[in-house]
Amino acid sequence: MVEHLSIGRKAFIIVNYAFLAFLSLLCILPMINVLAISLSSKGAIEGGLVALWPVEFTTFAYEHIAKTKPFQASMWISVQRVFIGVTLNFLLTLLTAYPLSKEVSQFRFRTVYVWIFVFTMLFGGGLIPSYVVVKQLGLIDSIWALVLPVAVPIFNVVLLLNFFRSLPKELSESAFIDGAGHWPILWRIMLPLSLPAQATVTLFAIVMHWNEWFYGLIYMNSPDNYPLSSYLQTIIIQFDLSSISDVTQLQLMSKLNDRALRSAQIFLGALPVLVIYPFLQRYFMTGIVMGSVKE
Amino acid sequence: MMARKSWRMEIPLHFMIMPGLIFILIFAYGPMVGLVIAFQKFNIGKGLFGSEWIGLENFKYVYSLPDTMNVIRNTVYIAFMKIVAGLVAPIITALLLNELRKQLFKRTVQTLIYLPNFLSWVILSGILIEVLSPTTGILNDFMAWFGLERVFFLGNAKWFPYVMVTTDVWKEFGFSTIVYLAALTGISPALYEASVIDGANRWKQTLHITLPGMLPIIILLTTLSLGQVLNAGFDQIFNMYSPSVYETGDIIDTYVYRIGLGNGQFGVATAVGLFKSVISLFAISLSYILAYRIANYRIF
Amino acid sequence: MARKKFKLFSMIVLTFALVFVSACTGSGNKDNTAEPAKASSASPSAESSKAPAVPDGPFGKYDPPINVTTVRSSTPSVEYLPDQTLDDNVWYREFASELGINLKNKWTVNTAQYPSKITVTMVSGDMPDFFIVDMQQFQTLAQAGQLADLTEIYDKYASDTVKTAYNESGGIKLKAGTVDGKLLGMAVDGGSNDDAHSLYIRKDWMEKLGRTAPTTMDELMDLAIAFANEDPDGDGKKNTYGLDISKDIFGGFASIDGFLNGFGGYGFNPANGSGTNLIFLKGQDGKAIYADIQPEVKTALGKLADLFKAGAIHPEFSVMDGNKAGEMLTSSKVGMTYGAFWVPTWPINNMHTEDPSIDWGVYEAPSGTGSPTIVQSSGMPSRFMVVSKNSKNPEAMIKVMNYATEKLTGAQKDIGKYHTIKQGDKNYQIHTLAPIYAPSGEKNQNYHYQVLEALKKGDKSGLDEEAQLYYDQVKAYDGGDASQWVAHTLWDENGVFATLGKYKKNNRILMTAYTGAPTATMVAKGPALRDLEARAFTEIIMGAKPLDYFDEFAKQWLEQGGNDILAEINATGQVQ
Repeated sequence: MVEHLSIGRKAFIIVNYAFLAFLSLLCILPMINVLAISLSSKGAIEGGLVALWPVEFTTFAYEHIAKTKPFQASMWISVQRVFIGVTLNFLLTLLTAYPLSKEVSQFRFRTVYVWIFVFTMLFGGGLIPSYVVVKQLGLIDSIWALVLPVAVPIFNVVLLLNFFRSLPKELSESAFIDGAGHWPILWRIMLPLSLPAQATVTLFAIVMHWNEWFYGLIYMNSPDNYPLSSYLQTIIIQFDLSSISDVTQLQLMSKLNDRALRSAQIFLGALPVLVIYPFLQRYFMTGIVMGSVKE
Repeated sequence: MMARKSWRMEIPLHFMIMPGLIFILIFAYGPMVGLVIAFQKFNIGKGLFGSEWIGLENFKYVYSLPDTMNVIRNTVYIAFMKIVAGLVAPIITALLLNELRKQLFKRTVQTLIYLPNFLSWVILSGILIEVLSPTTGILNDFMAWFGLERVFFLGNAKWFPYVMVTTDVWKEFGFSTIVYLAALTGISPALYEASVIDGANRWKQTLHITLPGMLPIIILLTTLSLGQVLNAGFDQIFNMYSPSVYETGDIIDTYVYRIGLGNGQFGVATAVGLFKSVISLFAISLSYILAYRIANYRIF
Repeated sequence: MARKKFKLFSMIVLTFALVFVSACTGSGNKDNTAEPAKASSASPSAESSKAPAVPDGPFGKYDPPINVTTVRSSTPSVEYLPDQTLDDNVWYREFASELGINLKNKWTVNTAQYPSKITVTMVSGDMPDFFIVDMQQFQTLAQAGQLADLTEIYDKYASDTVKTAYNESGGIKLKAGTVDGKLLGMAVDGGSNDDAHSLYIRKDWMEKLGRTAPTTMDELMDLAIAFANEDPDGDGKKNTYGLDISKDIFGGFASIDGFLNGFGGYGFNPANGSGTNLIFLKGQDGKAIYADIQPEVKTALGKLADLFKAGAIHPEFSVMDGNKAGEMLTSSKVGMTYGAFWVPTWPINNMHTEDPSIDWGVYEAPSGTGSPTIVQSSGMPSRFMVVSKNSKNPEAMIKVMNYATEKLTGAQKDIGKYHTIKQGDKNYQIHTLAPIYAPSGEKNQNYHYQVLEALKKGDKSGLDEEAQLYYDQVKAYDGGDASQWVAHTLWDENGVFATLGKYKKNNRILMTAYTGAPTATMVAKGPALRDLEARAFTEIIMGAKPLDYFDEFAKQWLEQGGNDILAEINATGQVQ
């Protein structure tokens, strides 16, 4: 249908495109700088010569990372972690959000439950007690230490329950009348209808599991068990200028340019998302469902 | 009769929640026992159950430190600005994106604005120091071109908090924008069609259909972010602050870090964490209760 | 249609199955690798029934062998030979075969996360037999009574080589590891004065401006201002600076330590430091005074403020961390820095190789007092090897140290096997695989003298293998190989160790008068006082506060805890 656009509207559209283009540029420039640094020579980086294009192009940083055996091993561990972790997150988020999205009239204890969950977003014992729990369960050095403690992402649950609530009640009500129980309603009606929300929380889960590195270092005793993000973290050297005493140590450190490695690390961290996100975007489409309900 | 039937209807719901509940009990409530350290003079040798109980001593100690009040003030100020700006920016962006017709452009922008999220503050601080430099930085060059005076953004205590808020919003707004975009898809096109018939223009539609349609999510994200009211962003500030800006830029977490409370005095560090949690709980509960009392609306 | 869906479905199921199965067996496998080490150890029953007698002497062998655990932090850039890892290498094998000690690593982690990992390990009660901790963790564990008393063990079992190394520099390493009269930790670093500052200057810039190296502080200030104003890089823009300073203000480079020394002032309080590694001086009355609040420091700060006003110090130094300050040097924005011995190895190591017209010279810290500068040096250890109170054989650590020290620095040393193995163009640092050894603090200085001697004679025989390596490198540079600039700057006759040698030979090194453990108030108020000082010094240098504010700062320092600290220090009787 051809809309007759007013001048004001036309002006708005142009400004909008321009503004968003500018915003995108603002967001991508640092990433381009990071990419350029990761592909530049040490001398160029130290000399402050790298802006948006690699200077003295070299893939040294990536080679240094990828050549090592731990890189491939940890990559596989990260893939496993994302697979298992995201699956677990997906299922548990769904199973937890659905009951919580019901009214009190349909599910008496929902408010109690919801506060039990939300409370854990605010209060935590900290690193040490968490470590003790994980250790007592015998999960140290196992991939399960990385996926089980974070199996229920409360933020995602709360997000999803809100989306469920925004779906028209008539859908589930008519299904009830037809004799369907909660399980079929969840799988056959709620799940397909909330795809944008699902895509959102899944994306967040993927990003988290791919990039989280701290617990990988703490819960794994052997570097053989590190996920990729943890491994990458270990190749970044922190200079502690106040207490260096061994000349040979410094000579080793100076061989690698920290900034190039850091940059390569960032880029590798962002890569899977850049690859997956376009595919997930299909699910962010508008108004897929609403037409099926007669108001 | 009715009561029994409805009770039976609820059983599957309980079953569904069971797995999540079990995980939470083990991995979230289990470690919470460790919060008791906040009330102890924790001794590694004696452990959780053998360390001396000292009640509120740890809290009193933190309170007595010279900069505590200032640091809390800085934290609330910066965190509050981040909450507000972190609300406004993604909403506006989501609305603007929603106006786009060219799908390819829209998807590209969506992807690109999420990118800053992946940069660590370690890397960003290096970049920002250069960009914001009063002598060689692009921003100041730009300002000088317009005849404005150059500003030492990162070294000036007056400007520092605002720089932190702006750069943080820039880094994180992509995340919330995604959520708001997803919320937008839930608004029925029928509403828009009906409003066109009534003669509404785009602006009126935005005001009366789009925004109200996003309202639940907006309220949700705002409430959840209120829970961060004492988390002004350790990573960011730690990488960019310096003694010149302690006065306005020092937040609870950086102060605790500098005072060395992290690695030595476990009791005090836990006490600070507990204090922050309690305040967050208070903030979120307040919003929840207000929404319920006033609008009979449960935020979650 | 259904067939297609089924195929897709089964593929997904298979993928998941594959991933899940590999995850489960994966974790199982990791457990298995731990088993062989356990199986090969002596059966526990033999140990628990009767405690085996500890074999005598520094190198006595345990029979039956004992199991000892430790943990390691790994420096990521270090490459290892394929058959030598942190868990299984020449050291661990020989500890077992020669000493009867089966050493096993409970875990390894990268240096940055090591403190966190030690913390959780400490609290979850899973402490290894011996391990390294930093000063703060050392104090925490000592106070919690978790460390074994090594006083007698050290006396009885430490070898002579080890004892010599620890007695250096007035035994500072032993003193730092002593708490309440008990030796609880063996210092892993410290005891060396190589951190005393030299002055590094861009020689090519000096030549371009027709100037010579400064010998007085006035000349230094002139030179710094000249570097800023007279366009030494010749690009027509006023974009260079004289003196490099980082936001830490004190430290190993881009710092003011040497500058203060030039005026007879002393101080050490990096903005990011612990606040407990301070310099105290012996006052007129024999009591300790705090170095940083003395009038000489005020004079020096005034001069620095002058330099800042004249544009010789980068206006944004207050936000520059170590890396950024290093970049200032490597991108030829700043022409001078004070620094410790390692500056030529980082950050300026590559500059000459990449551009031979660039050259840095090393000079003694100039003096503004009329007599040669006495430079400050810390010498304080920052890391300690400790033994868990629950260790069945606490003396095992000493024996391990004895052995490693002998093989690396003692009479039986064998550099080619234990220190560095050269294969092709790679140097494998085998010595980093050893959990601990006690190098002499003066090792580098001695190498310098050895190399000089050999250069005079033209003959490197009789040198330590490590010194021979340095000799070769220096000779190569003298022969025109620009890539050996670092070796030349370190070891050659006008290099860093030559400068340090002059300080040392003429007794121009000052160390803190208090060498004991941090006192209670130092721990409690140290960080706050550190912040106070960092702010005050930064503001004075930048001109945000007038120089006389220094007096107010000094008063505040004393009132807000300084007086208590001084009282405590004087009470310990460890002021020298």
